[in-house]
Amino acid sequence: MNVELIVDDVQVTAEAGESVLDVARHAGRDIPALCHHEAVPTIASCRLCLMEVRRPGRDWVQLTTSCDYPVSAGLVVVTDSARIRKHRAMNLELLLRRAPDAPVLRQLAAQLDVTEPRFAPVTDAPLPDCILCELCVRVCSALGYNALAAIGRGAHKSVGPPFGQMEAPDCVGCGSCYEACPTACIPMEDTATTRAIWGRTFELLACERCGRPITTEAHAATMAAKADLPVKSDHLCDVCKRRIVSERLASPGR
Amino acid sequence: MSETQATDTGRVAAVLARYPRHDPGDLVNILHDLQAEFRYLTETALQEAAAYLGLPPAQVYGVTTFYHGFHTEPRGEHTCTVCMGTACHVRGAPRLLEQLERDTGVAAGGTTPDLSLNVEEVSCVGACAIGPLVILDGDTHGHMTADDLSRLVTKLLDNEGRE
Repeated sequence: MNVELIVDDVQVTAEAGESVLDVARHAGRDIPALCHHEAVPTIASCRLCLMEVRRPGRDWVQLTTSCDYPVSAGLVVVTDSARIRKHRAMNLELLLRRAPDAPVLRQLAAQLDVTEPRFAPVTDAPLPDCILCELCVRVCSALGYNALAAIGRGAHKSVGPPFGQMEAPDCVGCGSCYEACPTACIPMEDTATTRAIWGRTFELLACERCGRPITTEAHAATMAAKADLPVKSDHLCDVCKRRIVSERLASPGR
Repeated sequence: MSETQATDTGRVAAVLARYPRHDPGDLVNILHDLQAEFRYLTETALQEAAAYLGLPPAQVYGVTTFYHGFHTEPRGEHTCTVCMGTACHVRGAPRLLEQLERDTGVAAGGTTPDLSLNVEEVSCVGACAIGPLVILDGDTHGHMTADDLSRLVTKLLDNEGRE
């Protein structure tokens, strides 16, 4: 079902259930949001995607996170205003306190004119650039591995392997948390044949044709087991698969 | 599996059997019951609770660490909690806590190495009229002095030793 709403004085059509953030982004607005990922449920923890929203029949304007605000008919959305910028800058300052050197935060700080953060930075965080958005935990959980936990709360919150372990026993080394992390704070070291992440070291599986690493052996085995398929003996990377198909299509015998 | 571990598993199973619905919504209640049984939440207990409810162990661990009331380290048999609310504070609660910490050699939030006593502080228990107060194993002791507290705790722990 479609609904009509107004984004920055322009009438737009959106699908019911979409978030205000997605609709605004489709309309071309550049809205910062670090903790949001389309593949997993949102928890609105970075607080940067603030917008002003007025519901029909209400005479007040609500300042709210847009990633977890579903669209509805007659909604009036403002994506940029002095009020939004002020509060967004404040939330960014709070994130900067937690991760003062995170490049993505420094970049946003320049955009939002946050020059002198007022809060003394945290210096003993286990992952220095982590903003505790839990995206790694959510992604790992959505993939069914559940290797990571959100540990504790408040000032002493952290993310990592559960039960105080240095190693994540349920990790398969897929690297999804590394890819999803908005501040690139998760250490992952790939050599030609191994990948080190969350205290573990995994063997990498090489493409039979070009030798490029595809993923870890543990990840490939887990995926095969999940899909109830035998573990393949020939492993090809995406590029080589495509190349083989195109070579076959182009071969004269066809 | 050692004998203690086998007994522990039996005790965990007995607690879990009180929740026949296997409902993940019962997690916090189960954690309370397990902690009442073992005084703290062991990794084995958490793993078994997770398996019982069909939850990922990482999530159960996350919930456990979220609440200050749940402990993942061994806890003492007795608990002495010093109220540090405003009213108790102005009447000398910090001195009570210092005395307790000196007597036991353990900082607030900690447990004595022989697992006899937990030393805790709390923000306010709402009994400001009788402050400064401490709570020893659930019993409230009002109008405390540092000397009174020393005697109270020594008496409790000495009695333990004699039994």
